[in-house]
Amino acid sequence: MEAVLSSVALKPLAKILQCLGKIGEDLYIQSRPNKLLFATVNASRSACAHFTLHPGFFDTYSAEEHVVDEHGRDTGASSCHVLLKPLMNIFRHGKAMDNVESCRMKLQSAGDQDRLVIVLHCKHGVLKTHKLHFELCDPLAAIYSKNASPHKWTISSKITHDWLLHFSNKLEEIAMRCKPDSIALKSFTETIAADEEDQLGCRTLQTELQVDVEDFDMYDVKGDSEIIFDLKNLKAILSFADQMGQPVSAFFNEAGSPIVFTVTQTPDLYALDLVIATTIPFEAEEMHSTASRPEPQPQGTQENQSQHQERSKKSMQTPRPPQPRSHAEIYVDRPPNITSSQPLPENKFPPLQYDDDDEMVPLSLQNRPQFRNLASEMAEVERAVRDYEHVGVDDVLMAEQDLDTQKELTSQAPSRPQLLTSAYRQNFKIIEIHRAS
Amino acid sequence: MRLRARITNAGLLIKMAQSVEKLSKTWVILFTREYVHFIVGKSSVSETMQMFGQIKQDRIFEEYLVESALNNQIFVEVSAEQFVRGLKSCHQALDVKLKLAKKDGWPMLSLNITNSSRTGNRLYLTQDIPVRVLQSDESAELTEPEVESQQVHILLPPLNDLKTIAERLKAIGTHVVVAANMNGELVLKVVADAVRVETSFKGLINPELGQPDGTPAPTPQTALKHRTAFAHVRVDMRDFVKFLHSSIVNPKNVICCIVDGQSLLLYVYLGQNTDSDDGQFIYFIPARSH
Repeated sequence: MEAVLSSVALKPLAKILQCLGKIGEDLYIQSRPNKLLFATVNASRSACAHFTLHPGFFDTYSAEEHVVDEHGRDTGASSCHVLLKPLMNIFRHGKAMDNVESCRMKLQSAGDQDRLVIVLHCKHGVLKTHKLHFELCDPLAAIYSKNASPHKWTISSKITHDWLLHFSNKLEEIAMRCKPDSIALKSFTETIAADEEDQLGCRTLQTELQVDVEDFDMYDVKGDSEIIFDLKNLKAILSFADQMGQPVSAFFNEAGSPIVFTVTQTPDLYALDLVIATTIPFEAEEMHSTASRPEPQPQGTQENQSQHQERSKKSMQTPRPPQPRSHAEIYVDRPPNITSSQPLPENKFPPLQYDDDDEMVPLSLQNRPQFRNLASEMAEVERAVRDYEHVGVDDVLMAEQDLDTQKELTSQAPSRPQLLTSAYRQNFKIIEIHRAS
Repeated sequence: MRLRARITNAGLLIKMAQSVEKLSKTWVILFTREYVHFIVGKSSVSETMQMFGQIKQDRIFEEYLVESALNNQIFVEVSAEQFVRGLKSCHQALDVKLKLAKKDGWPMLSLNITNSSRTGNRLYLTQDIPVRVLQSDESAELTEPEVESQQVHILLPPLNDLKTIAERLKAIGTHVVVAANMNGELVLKVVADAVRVETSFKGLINPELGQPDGTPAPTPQTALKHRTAFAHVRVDMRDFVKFLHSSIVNPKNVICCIVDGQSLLLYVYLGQNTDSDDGQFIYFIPARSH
């Protein structure tokens, strides 16, 4: 896989990584000839985010079909995962990013060295090269279907942002009650029996919000549905949609089946699907408990314990409203892959860790902090030199040539969908105003 | 026990709540027929900072009703953070109804808010703020502390100015000495090992204090002999900064009273004049030795 991004695409890419970083720790990359997929899943596997980056997002994008070498290894590295945090740090928006003119990403497998290579072409011919270890894996795919969801709505992210302002910052879960002609959002917390120790600390602010369905761009709910899901993941996608100025759509069914939130930027730039597990209400789950499903994670056992406590409490006390319980897990499926039929030798891949090669080397001297001991500074210079050597003069020249051809390409092809043009123009305007004054 | 009202001046109530939010995790709100009081800190512990706030109910409410077996007084304890969060939703609302309710067996201060969304459509919001209703023996502890009469009383300069200064001083030392005299002079002093910083104000007003019936207050026997003699009190910097959070309400009149070596009393008036019906905060900051 090889992709080249222009400077205008870097900010959306940073936001995409930021959004993924709020949900999971690993980035699953899957390159297909017609699109690049970014995905992540949270630790409890209750939320899964999928970004589809279409070729229009990039200046150039190319990926091979699956190529398998004699060891059964996928040399094209069509599916792999890297740690998200270092990647986010590379693209974090700041002053250093303003100098970047274009970015080249490449999945490179040479011998035993699997690396995601990111080359940032900066002003004055400076090149910054980052290399991240990646590990080959089967692609990550949550099982869900937007088309099969009977209920859906679309709303401006600004309005949802206003809604969530009313809720307490510490709130973890939210209940959404939808009817064909009304919608209510309610903060959801475990109800505590009234005769327990009378303290304020264990009780939380309860918020209920009833919204006019006229506020929605599209509202299509066929029947009654009440679902409970995690608020933190929802906030991740809403803040992303807000930053991108795009509306959010939701596709959902009944309690227990996942809710899908989507953000897309047309035409064919990117699409985000965020799948969040919803909570099965206590009583409903008890009915199902005859077919008791083994809890796959240690977290599940904890929840079971608390469930038992809840139940024993319940037996002693007056009936209370139904207690929603454990999360339904989103089944994250790993479809059969060519490589999976032949198990990979375990020791062949280095463990996921970072050696000196991967450390980010700030090449621009202005960015270097003033107080740093000489030894580390020397090491840094050495590393910088090594990086330059690694890139090689030919590479630099070639890169410059490429940049030239890119310019030509962009000028020749005005049909390429423009990303964040308004923001870009705004910046331009500000510069002009400064000059005028 | 019944309590209900329509909030007419949510903005003022939010500002009042915000200015005392940082004082403590929980505070007590006392509803009586005439007044709404905010009480922070128990008087049984005279070592800690305390705050008593009050405002006449008709300044913020209408259709106000309070009934209880305890002399028509209702004491509720609330979490500062939750109360402020819930109240903030009333900002620029079309209609807000407040009532004391019981939900799932828990007492709540329930706010029913009607608002309009960005697009002009109706938005109905309920904020249930958890409260704990205090028993009569607990509420009996909540009385204003008794202090000796002050040596000095002086009008403070604008609190926003003081706040900027105090935040600088906070970085230097943990305690601040507040000193003032009856000649319009105020000094804030911080002493650290390496540095000693003093900020002094001149030309401030020493107001004449009167009694409720309008007669001038009798001169206390402990009064200083000279107008230019200073009274000092050394207080915890954090307490002083907490008091300065009341700059949110942008008060015109703040009277600082110093009981030499013992305590600092601060009267913050929310209204244009020194009328406690328009809203008043009284801060009691005890002196710290070392």
